[in-house]
Amino acid sequence: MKTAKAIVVTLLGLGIFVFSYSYRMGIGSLKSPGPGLFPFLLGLLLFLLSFCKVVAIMKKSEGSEKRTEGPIFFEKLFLLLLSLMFYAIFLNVLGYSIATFVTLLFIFRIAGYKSLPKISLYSMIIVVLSYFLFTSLGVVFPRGILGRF
Amino acid sequence: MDIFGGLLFGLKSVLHVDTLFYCFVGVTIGTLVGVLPGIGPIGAMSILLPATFGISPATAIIMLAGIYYGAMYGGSTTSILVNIPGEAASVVTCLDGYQMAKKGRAGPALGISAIGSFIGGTLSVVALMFVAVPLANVGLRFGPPEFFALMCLSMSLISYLARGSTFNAVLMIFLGLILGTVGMDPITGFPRFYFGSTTLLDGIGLIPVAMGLFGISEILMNIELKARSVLEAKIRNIFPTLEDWRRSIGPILRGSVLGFFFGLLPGGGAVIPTFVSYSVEKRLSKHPEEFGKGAIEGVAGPETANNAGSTGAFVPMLALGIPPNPILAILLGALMIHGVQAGPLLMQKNPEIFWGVIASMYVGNIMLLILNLPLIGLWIRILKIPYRLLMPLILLFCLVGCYAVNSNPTEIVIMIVFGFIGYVLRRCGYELAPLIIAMILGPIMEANFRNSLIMSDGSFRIFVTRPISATLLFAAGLLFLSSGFSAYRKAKKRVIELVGDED
Repeated sequence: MKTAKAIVVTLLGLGIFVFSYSYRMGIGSLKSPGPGLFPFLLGLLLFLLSFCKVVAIMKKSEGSEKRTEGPIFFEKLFLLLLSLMFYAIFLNVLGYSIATFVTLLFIFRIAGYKSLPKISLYSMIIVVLSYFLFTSLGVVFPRGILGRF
Repeated sequence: MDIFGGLLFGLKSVLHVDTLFYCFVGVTIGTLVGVLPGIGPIGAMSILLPATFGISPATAIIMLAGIYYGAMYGGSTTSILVNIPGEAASVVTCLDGYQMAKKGRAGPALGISAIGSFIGGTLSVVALMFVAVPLANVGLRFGPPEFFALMCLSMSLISYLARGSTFNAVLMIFLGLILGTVGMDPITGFPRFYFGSTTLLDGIGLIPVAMGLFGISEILMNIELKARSVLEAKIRNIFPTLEDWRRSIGPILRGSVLGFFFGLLPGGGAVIPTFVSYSVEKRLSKHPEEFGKGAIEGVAGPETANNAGSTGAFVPMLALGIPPNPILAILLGALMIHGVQAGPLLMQKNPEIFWGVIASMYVGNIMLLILNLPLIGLWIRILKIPYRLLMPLILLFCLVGCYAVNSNPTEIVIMIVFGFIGYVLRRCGYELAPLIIAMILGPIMEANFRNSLIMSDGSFRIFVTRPISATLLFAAGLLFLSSGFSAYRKAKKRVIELVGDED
């Protein structure tokens, strides 16, 4: 319920932001609509709908609605997102091979593999095979620090 | 070009070695992603999109379309053998398919599902030809107000047919439309909501968003997926017996019709007709008590319907440029990236794409039948690969696929952010399909809205004084109101139940 509330409040905030920002962009006139007109209308409608939803949630919060959700594995979720962010940030710096190898090590660990030699071997094989597969498809990868040698 | 001339033209362009090869690659990958958990056709199409940049747009679309309808075939294998649907469109197949497998009838279940899919897919392609051409001709009469009204109708249908809350679907539509406004204004080129980022100046990329919402979020949802137990029994008698045929032919034919017509509806796609087909078959059956305990009709009908639905969904996309589901939204995005404008003019300007895709479906369905019957053992072996080994591979494909589009790591960040957003939204019961469809249609909708206002000197009457536009808007309003009323009725019922409980 808390997450559901947070989502609607975020949408409400987004609606306010969009219609105020697009108003400043210039909504023009109906005869000559400006670049802000369409997002202004969308922002306004999103705000109104989210507001209705907030009111509905407030009224219902005392009620019996309880969503049965599966457990959330916060630690794994956080580590996985962190590994992916690491990849995005360091891909150009480290190059494809090193960044992919390190990220795969983390991901295999998160996926439940314990043995380091095993996951190193898997990661190495995947890096080599994927490099040849993707470069043959025309993908150009950054060479990163390996490019200096 | 008449229908048969067009089909011959399409077949001529498909029956080339390289086009056949890409069609084969598409349907094979489609079957594979249908079988594997954690990656669906959207993820696979997004990943392979950059690989199509070097080939002709027609071949690229043929391959990507193959992934879509191939996944419908593959999804049934997991439903029958593991009781876990590979695709949302195969959920219903679990009910009777798995029960048949438990009774040692996995072979006929897999066989009838492949044959039904083939018949449904093929009949649907025939219907597609006869419906898409006249619809495209009607579409040629559309101006900006009609296109705007048509998109309003699509949005209403998407929210009306949403599996969860209609209200939540509407919120997702507005969120998608707002995301579609990021980047340059489609009419004046004025930069909007880009916050100094050159990546956002071109708009939020479809591929990072789609891969994040459907690829990454799926992995985050399945992060603790345990190993699946696949039925170890030997698969025998894949070809159905005469009795199986007698019981299945009706559901297959009805599934083809239902699938095709539900596929036409925005938001319909391949999922809804499977549920409709199942309930229709159960109602028509002389032995409804057998449903859920291994009735072959419960496999034949829905499996046919999902393939017919996936083909029917091509009609609004090819004829009007309106994608009815997120998978075809990706296909529309792929067409745009290749510089092709889908819509009524596609048939005239790019007949090789229009007819090539249609003709490739005949060929692709035959390929799928061959892939799915004799090679069933191979797919079962793939099913046994542990998810913890697949997960890093799927993630790597997402990362590289996203990077490869523009060689821009910022797009990976966008993908991760949308992956997390998708995860949170899915956990709270929001559907992501309306969001992605609205995001793609948003810029087209805006351009048509503003052009209509310019045409009418700022009067909104243009939307109601033109007959086609007025009819479409009336239908959209009616749908919207009826969904509002049904939501009201449900809410009222809940309140009454609550009060009743308290009493």
